[in-house]
Amino acid sequence: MDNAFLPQRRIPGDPGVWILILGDLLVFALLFFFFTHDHASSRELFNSAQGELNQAYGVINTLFLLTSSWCIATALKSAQQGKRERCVRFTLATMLFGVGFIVVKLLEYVEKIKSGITILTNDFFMYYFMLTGIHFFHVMIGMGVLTYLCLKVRNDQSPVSDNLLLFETGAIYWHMVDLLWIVIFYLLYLMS
Amino acid sequence: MNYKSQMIAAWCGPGFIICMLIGWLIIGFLPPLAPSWSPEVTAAFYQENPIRIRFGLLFFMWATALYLPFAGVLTVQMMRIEGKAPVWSFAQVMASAGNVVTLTFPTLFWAVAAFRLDRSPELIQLANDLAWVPFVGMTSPFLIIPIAIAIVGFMDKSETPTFPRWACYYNIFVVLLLLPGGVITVFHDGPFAWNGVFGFWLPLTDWGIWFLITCILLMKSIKRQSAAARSAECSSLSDGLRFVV
Repeated sequence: MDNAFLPQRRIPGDPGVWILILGDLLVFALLFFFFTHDHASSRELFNSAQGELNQAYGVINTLFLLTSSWCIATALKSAQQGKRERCVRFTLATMLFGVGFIVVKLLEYVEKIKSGITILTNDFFMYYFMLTGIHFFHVMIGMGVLTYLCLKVRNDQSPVSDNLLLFETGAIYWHMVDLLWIVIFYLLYLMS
Repeated sequence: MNYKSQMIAAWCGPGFIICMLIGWLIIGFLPPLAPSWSPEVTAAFYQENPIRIRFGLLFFMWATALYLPFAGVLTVQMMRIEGKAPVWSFAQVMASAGNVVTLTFPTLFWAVAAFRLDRSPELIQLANDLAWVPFVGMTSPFLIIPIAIAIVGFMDKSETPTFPRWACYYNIFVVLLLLPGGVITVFHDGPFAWNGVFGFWLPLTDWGIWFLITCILLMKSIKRQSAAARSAECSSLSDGLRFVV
């Protein structure tokens, strides 16, 4: 077999980042396992508690994160093509949807707490607050990463392609945040 | 080059883990006491084998002492990378000192719990809570250590960095995992309580792996440093000889 005819294969992003990504996915997988396990053993409680969630918030946030993932992918593509301004614009758009997610999430938390639901209300809300809370932290860190990428691409005088690896690494992290949310959305808002 | 003294300090890292594990096994802290236990059950744990607990805690105390030389060599190796303004190395030093406090204070409270066994069970439970809550939940000073290592590691532009990029990312992963540690104060049972999977077992495993990786990377770096120093010495010696000839 002559490999010259095959496209060059490589791991996307900084290879080391996959330690972080896979480790994080593993921890969340364990969280999801415990949730489904407890869900199966007290089905009635989990289903009735799920009824108290406002699905609209979940749907809006899913749309926000999916769109933001598309934005960061487009930004990366622009960076690959050397279009600095387009890249910055789409990174800003990604951040805008990220802020949207944070605002909606905070509104949801406030609504829950105001109606007397806390982390100690029952097992469902323990998982609700813990899963979404840990994910929330990931979003906040992601916002920091996006801000850094945006400033780096905007202020750097060198060609955009110099920051490609860095940009790709940040985009991978953001995609992970999105991926985790989709699973959390399904488990907490939809599964019954 | 103080190769040997650095190596001894680096070996204090595994020594710390081993000593701590011995202490825990003697006391019977694996699995940990449950926060849901009644005062009577908690008190009974201490009343049943006080001598074992007291001597186990002695090992635990020695273990925390071994942490300090380890932090010392970590600092020296970090400063080599950082150069003239070793901000993050200093942040790590302070965090390491704080970390020793978060380990010794719980030890003292456990010792107090096992000291007067005829005390009312509620008071023994209080001492027990005072030990476990900070021991599992006080992640704050420690967290600066992996953050500092990751930052310094990313700064390292040398050919064979002390902390390779994968190790930097692993350090960030450790931070992400330990970040919610403080929520153990909310729960008395379940997976997020101080004896739960996410409160105790997963962070403990991750922390153990972190410790091992850091020790191995430090030892490798010390070896490289000494090899480089030796080859520099050799070349300067041969230069000198050439000059004489």
